[in-house]
Amino acid sequence: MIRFLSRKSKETDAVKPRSKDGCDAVIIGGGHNGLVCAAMLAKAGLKVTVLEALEKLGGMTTSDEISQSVRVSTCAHLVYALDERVVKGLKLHKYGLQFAKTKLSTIAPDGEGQAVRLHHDMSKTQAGLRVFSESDAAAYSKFREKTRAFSRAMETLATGSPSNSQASGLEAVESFLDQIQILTGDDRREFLRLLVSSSGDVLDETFENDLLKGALAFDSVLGLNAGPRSMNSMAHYLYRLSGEAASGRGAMAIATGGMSSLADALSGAARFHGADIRTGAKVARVIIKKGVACGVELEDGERVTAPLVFSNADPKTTYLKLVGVDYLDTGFYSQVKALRCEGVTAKMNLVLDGMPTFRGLTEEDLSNRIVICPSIVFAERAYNPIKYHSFSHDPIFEIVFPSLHDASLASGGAHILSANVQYVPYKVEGGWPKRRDELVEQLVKALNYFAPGVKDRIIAGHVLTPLEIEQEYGCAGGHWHHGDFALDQVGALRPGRGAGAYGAPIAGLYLCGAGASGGGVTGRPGLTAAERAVADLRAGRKAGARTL
Amino acid sequence: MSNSPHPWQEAVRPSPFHGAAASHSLTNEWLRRGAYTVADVYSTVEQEYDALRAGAGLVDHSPLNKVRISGKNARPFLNRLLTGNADDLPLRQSLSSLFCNDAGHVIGLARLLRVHVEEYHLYTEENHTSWLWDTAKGYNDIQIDNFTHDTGVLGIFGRQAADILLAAGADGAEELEPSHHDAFMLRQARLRILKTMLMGEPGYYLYVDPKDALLVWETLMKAGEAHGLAPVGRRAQDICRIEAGELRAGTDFIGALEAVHGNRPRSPFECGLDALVDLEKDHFVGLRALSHGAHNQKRTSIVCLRVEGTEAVTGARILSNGQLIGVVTSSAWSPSLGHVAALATVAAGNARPGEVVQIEFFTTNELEPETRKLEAIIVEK
Repeated sequence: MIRFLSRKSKETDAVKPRSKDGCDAVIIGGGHNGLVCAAMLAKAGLKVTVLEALEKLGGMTTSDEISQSVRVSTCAHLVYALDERVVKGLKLHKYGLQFAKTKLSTIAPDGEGQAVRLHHDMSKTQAGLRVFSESDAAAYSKFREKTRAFSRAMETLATGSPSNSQASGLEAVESFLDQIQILTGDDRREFLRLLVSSSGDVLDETFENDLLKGALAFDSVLGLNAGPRSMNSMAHYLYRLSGEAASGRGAMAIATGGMSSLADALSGAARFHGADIRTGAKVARVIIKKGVACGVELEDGERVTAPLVFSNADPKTTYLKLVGVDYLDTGFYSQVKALRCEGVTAKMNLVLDGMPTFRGLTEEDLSNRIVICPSIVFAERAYNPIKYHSFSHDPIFEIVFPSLHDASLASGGAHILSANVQYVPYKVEGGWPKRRDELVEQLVKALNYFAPGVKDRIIAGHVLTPLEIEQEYGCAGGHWHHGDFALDQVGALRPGRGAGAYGAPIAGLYLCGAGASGGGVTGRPGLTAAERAVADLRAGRKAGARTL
Repeated sequence: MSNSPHPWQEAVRPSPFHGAAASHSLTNEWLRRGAYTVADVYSTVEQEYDALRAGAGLVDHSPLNKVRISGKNARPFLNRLLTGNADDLPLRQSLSSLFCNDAGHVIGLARLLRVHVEEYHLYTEENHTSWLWDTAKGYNDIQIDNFTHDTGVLGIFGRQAADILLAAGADGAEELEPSHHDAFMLRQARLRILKTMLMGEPGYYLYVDPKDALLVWETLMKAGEAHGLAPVGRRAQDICRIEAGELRAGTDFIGALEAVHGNRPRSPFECGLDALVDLEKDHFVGLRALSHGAHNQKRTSIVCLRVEGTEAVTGARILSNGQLIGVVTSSAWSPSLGHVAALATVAAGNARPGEVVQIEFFTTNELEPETRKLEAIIVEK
């Protein structure tokens, strides 16, 4: 772990790259990871400039007024697994970050009056599960224990060693194998088996209740272009779990004031440490001289020079657009181009004239995270049409009601239903302009089955398809994670050999967004990129340059 | 016009010069090179060698792989592809270069000719068109087409080559500077002529429309009668090539795309081709790997050897103080040097000129197996 230096530290000079004018580090994009990276670097004593294309900071962690005096989290709606090192290290609470509710339970209704409830409190969960199946209640605790232990090995695979951005792909695999060695013989076999299994198979062999299996399957595919019967879905489940383990209070939390408050807190911390943050500053390209990144050029022609360049943009945008083919090797270019990053998750915000009721759910249930995914088969059916550029009439949902926890978000008895919906394709047959209304209609209809009468309560609404997420936030494919989290797209292989785990193949250029190690509102990619850059500076390494 | 990147999908075919070459072949010994057959030996290796070294040799280079690269982005594409600086290559000039993969391993050697402002011709020993297409991903306005079968290539090398061209009537060709090229008329044939060095001899490449191939061949042979010109087959070329220390892809090193074993590909430095690599360029594919310290530590070197005896020893093991240090990749009796000349790959650090090494190979003596041991000296290239 790299210890960051305080601003007044005597050691600061040692960390500073030499920069005659301009700044020490320029960060492309003020999404939450870009801001985490900026704040961490500024805290370590570097002179940092953040350039955000939009007029607002936060990227996909943002909130907007959707109708009069109703504020919704436009894209991401939960602080899913914000790394404790970010929260504490930057003292985010000092800059206004508050959680209206943390550690949400997962409530999975079947639409016919039954529901499975997964709480952070194991005994409470088990008590609920016993109603359905005695053996599932026992198996659930073992399953959680096992998968949590395995998720730590998964995290190593995803992020590699944080101390060295020079590590070759091979070294990253070795450190992953080291992590596996820690597991005992049987666990090791089991872990390797799970890595290549489908969550559907694993859940089928572990549990008997369809509703429980559906709820867990949901988490194995949320944000992934795959169904629970696809290989790799179990690895994705472990990866998501690893984020949860690294976070404290920031696990599955609702931010007071909406997701913008996280961006506000991060930018506040970054500015306190001296970072210069500019909005409406769209970067056109990374300036490269003699193979080394040395700054950026804005669309209006302005240049910002810096010996370190961080990109919060996704890998395709960073390399194919901002760097350009002229500075990339043939194999690397092909790999980045082939990166699978078409999102399958749409965001829907509905303003309701009052709280709806869900079949089989209590009022208390609605203040948690509602997962509509009654079985593995249901999820798999929802996934199928994606393969043919279409969408299912029975999608799966993750729903929260932020206004229940934070009255400031909506007034006059109105409530916000905020939902992630899968599976919605990036490209749809016939084109989105023609089929958008059909999608919205289907989503509302599907929702109305689980929450009868909800459609009559809608007073305003907003849907973002993956294509619109791309257009709005500039991330290729509209994928939250900047690329599917799959075994061939993680760790040292993400986004391509020779650029895995933060160290871009171009000296001086680091990825600091989800494309570096995976998405979600975790802050980890931004944190790790900052740590690596500081470690590289200390070691006198040419930042980012690595062996193949 | 064939765009097929894979010669092995094609039937072997005669080169555009085959009719003329066949009429000069006394041995009927042909060899497959690329998609063509070319003469291995026309008369005797000795006669052909002498012609090349004393007068001039006519060589059918049609098997070379030929790719036309055109469009607005041809220039940035080529500058990214090649290790040499192709960015400011002037019109009617050429560049001898090579290209690498991401890891800085040599894929192939290449000669680039700029024929128009936005049109280049790239000549390579082997077919790497698929790599060119891969590398061109991401560029718009670029056309890459393989025109191997649309052009015959004739080489005329030797000290008399310039006089022969003059006698043949290619007016102005004698004034070409080394590595320059231009369009000329030879009787009714329009062709492009490039001046360069090959096999240690000055000479010219002639790029010819296949329909004019026989006319050009006969015109040169006729003009060359008084200058000791003879067609030269692969075997005699090989001797001259080894004497001159010229590597052949696939023979003296394995191209990175052909290698199966991970440790077989070579960096340009390991091939001794440092001069073809411009590390000061902004970028080319493989630059990052090559400018990294790890690559400066060569694992192997390619060296020239003087071997005792008169036999070719290609494939023989090379030992130093009883330790295996390398292998002979090309070898031939050199009439002008008076010894067997060889090219070899040896473990780095064993490449000091003057060092004596042992050559070992297996053979039979009246059907009895025998291990033959010879001495060899590493010589300056």
